[in-house]
Amino acid sequence: MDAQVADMPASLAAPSRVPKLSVQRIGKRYGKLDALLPMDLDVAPGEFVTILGPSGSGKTTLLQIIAGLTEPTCGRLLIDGRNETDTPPHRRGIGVVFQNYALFPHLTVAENVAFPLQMRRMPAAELNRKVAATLEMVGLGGLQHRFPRELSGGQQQRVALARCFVYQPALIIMDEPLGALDRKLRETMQLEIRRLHRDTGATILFVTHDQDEALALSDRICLLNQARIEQLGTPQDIYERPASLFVADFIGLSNVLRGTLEAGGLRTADGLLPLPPGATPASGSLAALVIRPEHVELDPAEGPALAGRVTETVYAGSEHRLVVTLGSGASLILRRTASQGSLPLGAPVLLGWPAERAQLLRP
Amino acid sequence: MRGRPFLGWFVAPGVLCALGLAAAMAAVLQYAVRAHIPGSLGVGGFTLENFSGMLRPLYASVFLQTVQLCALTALFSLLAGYPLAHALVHARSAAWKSAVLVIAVTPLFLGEVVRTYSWLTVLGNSGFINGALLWLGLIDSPVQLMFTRFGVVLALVHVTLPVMVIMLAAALSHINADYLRAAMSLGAGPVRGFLTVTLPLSMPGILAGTSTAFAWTFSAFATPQMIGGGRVNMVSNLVYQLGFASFNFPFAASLSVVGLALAAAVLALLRLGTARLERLA
Repeated sequence: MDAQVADMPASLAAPSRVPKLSVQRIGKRYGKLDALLPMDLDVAPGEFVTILGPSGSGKTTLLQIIAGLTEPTCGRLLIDGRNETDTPPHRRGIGVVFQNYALFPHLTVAENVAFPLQMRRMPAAELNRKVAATLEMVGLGGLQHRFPRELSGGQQQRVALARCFVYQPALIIMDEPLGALDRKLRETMQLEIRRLHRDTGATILFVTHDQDEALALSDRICLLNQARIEQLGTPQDIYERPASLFVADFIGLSNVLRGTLEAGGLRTADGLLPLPPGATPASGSLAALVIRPEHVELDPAEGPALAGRVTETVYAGSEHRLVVTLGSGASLILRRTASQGSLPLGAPVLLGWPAERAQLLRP
Repeated sequence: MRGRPFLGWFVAPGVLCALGLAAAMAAVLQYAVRAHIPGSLGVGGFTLENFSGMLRPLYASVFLQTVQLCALTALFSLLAGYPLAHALVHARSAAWKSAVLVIAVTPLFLGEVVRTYSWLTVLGNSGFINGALLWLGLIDSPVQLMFTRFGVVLALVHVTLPVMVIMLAAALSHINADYLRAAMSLGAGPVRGFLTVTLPLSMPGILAGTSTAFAWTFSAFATPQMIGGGRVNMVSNLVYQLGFASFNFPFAASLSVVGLALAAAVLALLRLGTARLERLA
């Protein structure tokens, strides 16, 4: 089972060229508390990597160590292959977009955006041209003389992005930059960030606790939990092949059926369930099958058929979600498209799934 | 307030104090426009002579000197207080923090007179500074520190420092640490980060601190009286001399009134000149 769970396609391993950013056995302790257990993470040039995890999982600590705003307790940090562990933040050339934007309240929009250029002693003419062009790029032309507090949340966010992109840092860190925005604006800004990423070719490390955001934006997701990396992989990888029950539970909706392994499959309270092909587990150990709601079928043509009753229906616009309670009391969620329609409460159903769509995980 | 009428009575002590202060102020104003009768504590009829008498160079120079001393005190109090306030807010170790707090704030626990007396033992001809310099052989005869503007300003800075530090520390601690972090990540070193972010954002505290130090020094009496010893005169000392040595209450009152107006005018000018900076608060 371990082999099946841990296997990662070769294409996902760190690329062979020099990584833009290389976190090597970096950890952080506060007294007796592990804020970050020693971990490794390589980010390729131009890659968009999201650091995802519940609050308190160490996301911000990792980000601050990379930005140089917090010193790691152990480990090395390489940028373009150079050891930058002890470089002060202003010499790292990493662009940081802060959670609360951290726009300078005493400077206008234009002065905020000009700040990093002034620090680099850029001549005035070139500076003005760049500031104007960058403000135009994020759709803020005409607002350059406003102060940050005179802007809406979305506009402030754009200023923060402009201030970061204006000096074209090769590596950009964003700490939950969309956390304070409403849903509609979040989606607009996600597209904006994707576009800026594509246009500038910058390497971006994006921190969020929002799984949808992570799935939508990232080349790879680094999922943190309890100060360590739970799983590192593409969004598809993480969604379809979660490495642990935590991952399966954290990303999207999951159905979990627990039981004991035996020769023919997984023995659960609802019967013997077949294992996904290729799984060669040791008999007698505890395990769980994880099936995504969209893979649960009504009246399956093949595979196991579990009997249950519909106990809850949720209308979610484009789909219906049904909760089916099985004989053992365990419940499964399944999705029905709008055209398939819902089922009445209490309706008896038979459930199944293609065996290869299930994941076998340790409980 | 409705349903809890007794709350109204809680303002009574405040109102009493305010009335007392207003009455005293009215008395001073009233004295300021009455004629002085030499040899008598009583006052004569209405006159503006007290104010015209103040135009004599002797008095004008005392007003000028007072404003200068106040400005110097506010300036040096700011220069000495800023590093202390910065250390107080940003020190990492708790021990260092409490040390700064003790150094900065204990002077508040001593009265102005006691504090000023302690300066006598430091600044006097046989005081600590001269004693140390003589012993080291750096000077042959004592340097005059008492009865000088330097001595007076030094002691006044000591008086105003605690309040300056507290006001600056309040302003500095209200600056979001992310601003400095952002500045650093955008390429500002520690010095430029301070000059471009911390300093302008602490401007409200700087203004509040210097205004308070200025106004407070304007009314200082014991310190210039004892350290200045009659050779460094401020308006308050002049008022004291005229009131309690010459018993010319009307002229003393008019000096007080003009001093108050001058202090208010200077502070208003300071506010006006820094109105743009004040917006940041």
